[in-house]
Amino acid sequence: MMTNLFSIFDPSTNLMNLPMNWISTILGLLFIPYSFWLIPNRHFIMWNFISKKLHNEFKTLLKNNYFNGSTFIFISLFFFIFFNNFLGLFPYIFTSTSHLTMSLSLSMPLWLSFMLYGWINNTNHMFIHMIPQGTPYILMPFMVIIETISNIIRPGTLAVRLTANMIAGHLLMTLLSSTSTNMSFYMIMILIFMQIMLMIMESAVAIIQSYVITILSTLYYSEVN
Amino acid sequence: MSKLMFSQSSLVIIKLLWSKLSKFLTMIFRPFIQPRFNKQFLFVPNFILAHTSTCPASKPKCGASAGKGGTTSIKKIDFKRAEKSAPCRFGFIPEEWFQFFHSKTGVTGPYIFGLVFVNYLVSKEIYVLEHEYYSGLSYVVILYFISKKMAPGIGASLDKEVDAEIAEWEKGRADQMKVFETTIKDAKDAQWRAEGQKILIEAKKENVAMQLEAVYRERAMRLYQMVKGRLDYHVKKRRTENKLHQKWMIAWILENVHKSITADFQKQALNQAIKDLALAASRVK
Repeated sequence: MMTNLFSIFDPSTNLMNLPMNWISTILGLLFIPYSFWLIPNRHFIMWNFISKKLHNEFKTLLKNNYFNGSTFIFISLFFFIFFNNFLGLFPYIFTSTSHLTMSLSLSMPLWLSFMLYGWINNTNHMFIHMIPQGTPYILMPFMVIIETISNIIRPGTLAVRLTANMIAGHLLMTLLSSTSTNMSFYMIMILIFMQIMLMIMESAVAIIQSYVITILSTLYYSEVN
Repeated sequence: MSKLMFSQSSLVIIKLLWSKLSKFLTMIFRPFIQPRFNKQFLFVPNFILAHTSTCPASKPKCGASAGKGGTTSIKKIDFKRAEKSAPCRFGFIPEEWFQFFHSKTGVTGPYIFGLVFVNYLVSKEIYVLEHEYYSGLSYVVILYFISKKMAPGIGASLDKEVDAEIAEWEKGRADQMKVFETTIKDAKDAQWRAEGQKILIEAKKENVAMQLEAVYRERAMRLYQMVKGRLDYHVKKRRTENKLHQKWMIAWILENVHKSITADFQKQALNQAIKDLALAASRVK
C-alpha cells in the first residue's frame, strides 16, 4: 500500500535493512555490448552508431576546446543517465535519477570542477564572459549580478531539471495505474491505452533529459576555456 | 523450579525442532548451493542453476578422465565461446526449463505449470496486482508492438551494417588474394620470359655463328682467289713464255727454211708441181 503518492520514490527493496534498490543504478552497465568477435553484432553497431552521433555533436559544440577524448565523459554521462531514466520506466525497477542525491552528485562535481578550473586558471576570461558584447555601461553591474546568480544556480538547475522530470513522469504513471486496481475490465482497457501514450512520452522524456543534461554540461565546459 | 523445568523442556523441543528444520532446509536448499544435478532428488528444480549446452562450464574439464594423480600437462582450453545465445521461448524462458517437464508431462506441462504457479501467486496475494502491475501491462503491450512492427525493420538495417562490415573485411581479404594472384601470374610470366630468353639467346648464338661462318667463307674465298691469282700468274707466265718460245722458234724455223730454199730447189719444185697438175687434169677428163 502506498502511504502517500511519493512513496514510490522511497527505497523499498530491503535486505537486512540495506536498501538494495539502488543497485538499479548500475543495471545499465549490463547494456554495454561486448566486442569479443571481430565482426560486430547488431547491438554493438547500434551502440557505436549512437556513440558516434553523440561524439560528433559534442565535438562540434566544443569547437576549439576539443582535445582527443574530451567527449568521453559526456557520452558516458549520457548513457548512465539514459539507462537510469529508461530502466526506471519498467515496473519494479527503482529510478535512481529521480532522487536529488543522484542528480546533484552528478551535476555538482562537474560544474564545480569546471568553474574552479576556470576561476583559478582563466580568471579574467571568466569575468569577461559575464557581460555580453555591446551592453551599455549603466547595465553592467546588474548584468554581473544576474550572470553570477545564473552561473551559481547551474548545478541546481541541472540536477533539479532531471529530478523533477523523472518525478513528474513517474508520478503521473503511478496515479494512472493506481486507479486501475478497483475498476471494471473495460475501463482498464481505456486506461491501458492512455498509459501506453504516457509511457511513450516518458521514454522520450528519458532520452531528452539525458541529452539535455549532457549538452548543457558540454556547453559549460566549453565556456570555461 | 517449574520455570526451570519448563525452560529445559522448551530447550529440548527447540533443539528437536531446529534439527528437523535444518534437515528440511538443507534438503530444500542443497540444489541451489550445489549445482550438480542429483537424479535421486525428484523435486530438485535444477533448471534455476542449470548450465546451457553452450555454457563452457558444462563441458568436461580437461584432465577429469586422467584422474587425480595425472600428469601435469599443459591446460588445454577445449571449449569455445558461443556465437549465438542459447535457445529460448518467448524471448526470455530458456529451452531447458521446458525439457525438464517433458519426460513426465509432455509438451503442455511447462505451460500448465506456469499457469498454475501464476494462479497460486495471484490468488494467495503473494504477487499483489497494484499499480506496478498495470504499468507493466501497458509496457508489455508497447514492447510487443515494437517487437512485431519496428524490430524487423531495425534488425534488417542493423544487419545491413553488419553485412557491410563483413563485406569490408572480405573485400580486404579478396583484394589481398588478388594481389597475390597477380604476383603469381607475374612470376609465372617472368619464368616464361626467362625461358624465352633462352630461345632468344640460342637464336642469337645461331645468328652469330652464321655471321662467323659467312665471314669465314668470305675469307676462304678471298684466300682461294689470292692463291688462284698467284697460280694463274705462274700459269700465264709459263704460257706467255711458251708462246714467246713458240713464236721465236717458228720465226727461227721459217727463217732457216727460207734460208735453205735455194733457187735451184725452187725450180725443181715448180716443175714437179706442173707435172702433178697435168696428171691430175688428165685424170679428171
